Amino acid sequence: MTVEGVIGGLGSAVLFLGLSLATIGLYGMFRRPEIFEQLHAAALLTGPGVLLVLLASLATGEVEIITSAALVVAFVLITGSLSTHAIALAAWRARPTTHSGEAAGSRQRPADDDGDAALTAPATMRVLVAYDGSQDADLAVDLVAALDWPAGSHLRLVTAVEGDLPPLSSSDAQLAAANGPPPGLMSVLDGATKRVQRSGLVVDRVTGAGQPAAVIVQEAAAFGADLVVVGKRRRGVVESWIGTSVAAQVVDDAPCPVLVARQATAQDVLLPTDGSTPSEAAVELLTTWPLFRGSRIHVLSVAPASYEHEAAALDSLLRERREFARYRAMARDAVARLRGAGRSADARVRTGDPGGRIRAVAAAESIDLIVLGTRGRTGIRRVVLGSVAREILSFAAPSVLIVRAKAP
Amino acid sequence: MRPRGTATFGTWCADVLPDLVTTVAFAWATLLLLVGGVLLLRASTSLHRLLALDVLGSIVIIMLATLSFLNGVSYSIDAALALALLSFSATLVTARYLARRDRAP
Repeated sequence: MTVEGVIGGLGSAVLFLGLSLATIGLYGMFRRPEIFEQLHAAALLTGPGVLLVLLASLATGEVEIITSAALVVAFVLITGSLSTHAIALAAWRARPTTHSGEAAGSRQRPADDDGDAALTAPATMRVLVAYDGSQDADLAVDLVAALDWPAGSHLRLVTAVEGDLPPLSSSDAQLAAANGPPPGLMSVLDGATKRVQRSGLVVDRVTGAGQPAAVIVQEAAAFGADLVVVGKRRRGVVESWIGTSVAAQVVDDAPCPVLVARQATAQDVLLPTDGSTPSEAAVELLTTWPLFRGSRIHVLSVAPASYEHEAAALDSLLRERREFARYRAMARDAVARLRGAGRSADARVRTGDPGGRIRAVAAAESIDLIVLGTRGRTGIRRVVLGSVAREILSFAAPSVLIVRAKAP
Repeated sequence: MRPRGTATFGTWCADVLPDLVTTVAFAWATLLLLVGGVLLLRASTSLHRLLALDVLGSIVIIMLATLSFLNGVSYSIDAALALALLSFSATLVTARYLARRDRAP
């Protein structure tokens, strides 16, 4: 191994390390759309990424290249943090702030404040509806208007406005004044408010400045919502993979169940079960919430299929039959619990890939709403494995009600 | 170590930092550039676009550095230095400008 060979090897390694960090940083910018998280990811690229690639210049041994690279390194070291800080300061000044519009609706106030009573039956519900004036949001409002909310429930419409960056020297009071809702928005909100209004319900509205998903999640926490309702745009396959929608972000970060509305009614409800904790949580929700009393609930459990070439062997056949029987028992058990709570329910069992089977049944039986429990995988597992919930959310046509529960 | 006078400018770099490595690195950097372009198109607010442009500038700096390793010349990195200067000033000025913009009607 010559000295030059070693130097060349080290140089190549440093070069590829720099490019790897740049790739990771870029990927991070795709998966985390919130501005501060993007700044964090971008710093990987504009910091160590660039610096390591320039460091690899040492391996060339050419003085002119090394000198020029050293100058760029010095410059990036000095100015990199300045650029990041300038963007971060502007983003901080424009962070979501919420302030209430005037309350519209009946003057009745709910007798008690349920706060965040997770999945137990709320006597009155606090529902946050995200509305931005788009067609999909109108569909969400229609669904909310069609559902049978318990008397005394509090519905709140939240709208995110882009908001504006105030001058750097302003105070928080000026910031609040600068981010008031645009004038045309109020009349649109009035229309939506009228459609959900009903006697016995408290309806008000709130606007917040900033990114829609962040505004919605913040308001859900502040409001103590039991349920968040959002609309969702239909996106193509490529778009679903390279981006995240507001609905997906809200599902990820909301402190309560999220209803992604894509149909205007909730007459036929599909409830996939697999015996796991999250699907138990979904069954629990349907038995305790009074909301879906009038709906027909179809319980579906999907048993795993064995591989084609294994099917010939007797023990794998027996195993498959056992699994099928187990999943059928699971479905019937869920149906019994639902019927015990006064809901109309029936069971079916399929085999195969859960996501595909759920979508097939939903299409075949004109399902309006799928109620899904999800473990809410985070980090690398979500990225690599995906989840059934994410697939249903991205590609299925019915509305989806996502219930999160951590596996013990 | 071989005395510098006995090798030509180009082959000396080629010995120490193999061509294959730098070609692969350049192709990789080009891929990152395209991905960065998608990031720019996806950006939802002005600040996101600003950050995406800053990142694209850094990716081009990486590309220019790799290009200079490939060709064994130093003027590509001088171009990278100029780009770094301009990108930094642009980011700073744009961030301040966005902060002083009047409210949209």
